[in-house]
Amino acid sequence: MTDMYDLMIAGVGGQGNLLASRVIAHAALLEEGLSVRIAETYGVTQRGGAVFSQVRIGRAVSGPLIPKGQAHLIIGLEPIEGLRVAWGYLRPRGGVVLNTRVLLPLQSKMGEQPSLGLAEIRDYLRRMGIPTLVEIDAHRLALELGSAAAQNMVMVGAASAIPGFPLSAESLSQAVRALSRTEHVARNIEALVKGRQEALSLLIKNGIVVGHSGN
Amino acid sequence: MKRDDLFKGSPGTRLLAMGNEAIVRGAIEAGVQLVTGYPGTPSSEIVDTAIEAARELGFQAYWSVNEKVAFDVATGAVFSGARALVSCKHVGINVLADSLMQINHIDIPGGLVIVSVDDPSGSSSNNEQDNRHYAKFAEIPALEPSNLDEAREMTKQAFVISEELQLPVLLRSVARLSHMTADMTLGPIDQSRRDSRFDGSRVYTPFPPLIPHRRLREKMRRAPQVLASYDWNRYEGTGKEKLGIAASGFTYNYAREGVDALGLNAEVALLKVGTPHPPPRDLIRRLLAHVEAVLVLEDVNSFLEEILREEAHELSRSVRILGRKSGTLPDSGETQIDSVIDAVRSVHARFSISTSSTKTVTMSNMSESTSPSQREGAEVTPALPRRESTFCVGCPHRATFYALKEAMQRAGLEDPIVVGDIGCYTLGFNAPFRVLQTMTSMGASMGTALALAQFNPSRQVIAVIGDSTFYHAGMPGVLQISQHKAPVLVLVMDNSVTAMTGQQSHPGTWHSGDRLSTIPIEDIVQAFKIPTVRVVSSWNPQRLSAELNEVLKTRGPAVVISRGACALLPERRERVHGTMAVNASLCDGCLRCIREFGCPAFLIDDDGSLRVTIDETQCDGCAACLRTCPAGAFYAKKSSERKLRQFQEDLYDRHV
Repeated sequence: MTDMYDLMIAGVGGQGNLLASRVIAHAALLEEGLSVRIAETYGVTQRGGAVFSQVRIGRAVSGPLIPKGQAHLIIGLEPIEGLRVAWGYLRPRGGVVLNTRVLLPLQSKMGEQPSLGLAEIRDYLRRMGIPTLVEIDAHRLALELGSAAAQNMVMVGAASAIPGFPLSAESLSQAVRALSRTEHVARNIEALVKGRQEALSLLIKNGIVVGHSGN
Repeated sequence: MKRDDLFKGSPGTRLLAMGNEAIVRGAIEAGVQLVTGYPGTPSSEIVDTAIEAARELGFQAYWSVNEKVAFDVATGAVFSGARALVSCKHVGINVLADSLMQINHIDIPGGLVIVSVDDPSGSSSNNEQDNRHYAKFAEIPALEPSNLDEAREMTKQAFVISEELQLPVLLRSVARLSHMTADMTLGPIDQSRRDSRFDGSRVYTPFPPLIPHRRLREKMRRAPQVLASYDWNRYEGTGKEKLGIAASGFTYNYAREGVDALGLNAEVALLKVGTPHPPPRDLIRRLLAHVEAVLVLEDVNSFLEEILREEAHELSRSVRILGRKSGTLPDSGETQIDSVIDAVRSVHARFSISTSSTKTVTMSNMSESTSPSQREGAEVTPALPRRESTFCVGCPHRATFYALKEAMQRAGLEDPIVVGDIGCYTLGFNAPFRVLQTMTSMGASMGTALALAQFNPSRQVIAVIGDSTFYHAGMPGVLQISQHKAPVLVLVMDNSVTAMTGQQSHPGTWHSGDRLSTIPIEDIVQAFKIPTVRVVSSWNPQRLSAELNEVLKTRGPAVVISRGACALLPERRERVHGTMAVNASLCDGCLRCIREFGCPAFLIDDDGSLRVTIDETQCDGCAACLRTCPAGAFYAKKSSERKLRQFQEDLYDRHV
C-alpha cells in the first residue's frame, strides 16, 4: 500500500462515528501493525451536530489532519455531511461510500436553511467527477439485523470493499470483536459482512475492479 | 470503558490510545496518588480515565466541585508529600489561578502536576486562550508534548521535575493532541510506595512573600539545567540552511509533515520546542545563527515568536521572524496543516536562493491533490445547510425550554431578559428556542442577572443555570440575589449530572450508595432564604409552564428547579423506542411542533403535504412532545402503552 491512506468519516452526533473510526484504527494497528492517527472533536459536537473523524493509516504517519484534496475515501454516515466533506477534502480519484438516509438539520426542517434530498446530493457528487460512489441503504440493512444502531458498522463494511482500502475484512472483524459491547459483537460483525457484500455487488455491477490487497 | 491494557500493560506494549489516556498512563507510571479536576472539553477524559484506573490500582481519583477546589484538594495531597495531578480545560486554570499564584511561593513536598488542555479555535469553548502564558506568569515550568509517547513521558517526568524544583509543573496539551487517537508505547510503572504524611514541623504559607518570591526566581533560574537532561527540545539541521521552522508542542507534526511533503528537508532546519517555559535559548540561538528567516508554528498566541524575536535582537542578527504576529499565519484559531503547507511554500519562495535551477515546489505525493472546493471550473458549490448542535432526542432541557417560552408568552412579559450559562442547556441559544441572550463564564448568569434586574427594573429577568454549573460557581451569585431580594427568576435545569462533558457526577447527582452524600439544590437555596422554591418534573411541560406562570406573579427572588434525567444516562439506555406517533389524519402540516419543540425524531414527509411523522428508531419515549401539537395529533402507540407507563413511572416525579 501507499505510505499513507487517508479517510474521513462524516456523520451526525449519535450515529456511531467514534466506534467506526476506532474499529478501523484498531484493525490497522493491532491486526496489521500499521501506524494510525484519528482526529476528532468531542463534547458539544456530539449533540446532533456534524461530526467528522479523520483517520490516517500508514507506515509513517505524522499529524492527524488530512490536507485538503488528500482524502482517499469518504464514509458518509449521513449523506449531507458526506457531501460536505467530499467537497472539501476528497482527492480527484477518491471514493465515496454514502449512507442513503438523509437526516435534515432542524433549521432545514424549519425552512431557514436549504434542504437537500438524496437525488440532489448524488447529483453534486457526480458533478465532482467521483469515479467510485457507492450508495448503501445502511439504515434498512441495519434494521434487518435488529437495530438501526448497527448502521455505522454496515458502512465500515461497505468501505472495506472499495478498491485501495488497506485493511482486510478479517482485521475489521477482529477489531469489532475487541471494541463492541459483548451483546453487540455478533450483530456488528454481521453488519460488517452485510455492508461489504452490498458494496461488492454494487461495484461488480458497475464494472469496477474489486481485486485488491487484503482480500 | 475499562482499559486494563492501558492501566496495567507492561513496558514496551504498543496500543491505541487517546492523548488524554496517554497523560493518565504517564501519571500511573509516576505512581500518582491523587487525580482530580473539573470536567471540561477537551480535558474530561483525564479524570474519567483516572477514576477507572484508581479502582484497579488503588489511588485516589474523583471529580471536584470546581477547579479551584480541585487545586486546593491537590494541595492537601502535596502537603502530605503525595504526588497529585489536577486536570482541567484552559478556562479552568483561570478558576484555580488564585491558588496557583500562591502555591508557587511555597516549597511543596510532593510532586504537583497541573494539566491544562487548551482549546485553540475554541471548538468547545467560549474563548481562545494560550495557557503557556500562565507558566510564565506563575513562574513554573511548562512542558508541551507533541505526540502520545511524549504526553506519557512528560507527565511522568513532570512529577520528578516538580519534586526536584519543589514547584508545580504545567503540562500543556491542546485539544488536537488530547483528542487524537494514535499508537503509543507504554513505559515502566514506578512501583515504589510513597509515604504520605503531613510534616507539621514547618509551615506551608507564602506569607510574607518577598523571600519566597526570591526563592521562586532562583528555582526558575535553575530550571533550564534541570530540563536540559531531557530531549524534548531538538534542533534538526546542519547549520547551513537559510530557512528555519520553530514549532511549539503539537505543531511540530505539521512542521515535519509540511517540510517532507514539499521535499525541503535539505533546505529547512527545524527546531522542536517541548519546553516553552523556560525556552531552550541555546538551541534557539543555534538556529538563529545561520538562518535568514524563521517560520514559527504554535497555538494560539505568539508566545514562541516573541521569544525568537527577543533572541534575534540579542544576537544582533537581522533574522526575519515570521508567524502569527507578523501576519504570515492567521493570528487566531488552531494551526491547520493546509495553512502550514501554504506558509512554508511562500516563505521558501521569498527567502530561498536556488543554486542550480529553479525548482518548482510541489507536493511530492500529491501532484493533483486538490479537493473539489479548491478547483477552478464548472463545479457548482453545493448549497449545504448548516447543522447546529441541538438537544439529544429525549433531553429534558428541550421540554423545559418549551415550557419556559410558553410561560413567558402566557404571562405577557414585556421584553423579558433571559440570561444563560454553560452546559448542555446553552443549546437554548440555538434553534428552535433561541431564548438565551447572554452567556460568559461558569456561574456568571447569577451575578449578571442581579445587575440586569437593577438596571432594567420594568423587565423580568430570568436566569437559566444547570445543576453542575450551580454547584461549580452559581451558589455565591444566588446568595447575593437573595441578599438583595432581587426580582430574578432562577430556572435551574437539573438533569442529575455534568452532562455535556460525559455525564460526570457532582454533589447533586442522584446517587444511591453511602460513600458520598447528595446535597440537593432545593435544600441549598432554601438555606439561602430564597422565598419561593419549586421543584417540578421536566417531563410534563404544561405543568412546568403553569408553575412558572404562578412563580412569575410573585415579586422577589425565586428558584424553580426543572428536574429530568439526562437522555444519555445508563438508566435511560433502556429506551422505549418508537413510542410516539402522529395521527396522519389530524396532522395538517402546520409544522408548529418542529418550530416550537424541534425534536430530531420529527420527520417531515417528502410527499409535499409537510405532514410530520416520528422516526421510530430515534424516538425514546420521553413523551414530552405529547401536547405540543395544536391539533392533538401526537399519541403514544397502544403497543407501547405498558412499557411507556413503566418508563414514565421510573423517570417522572421520581426525584421531585
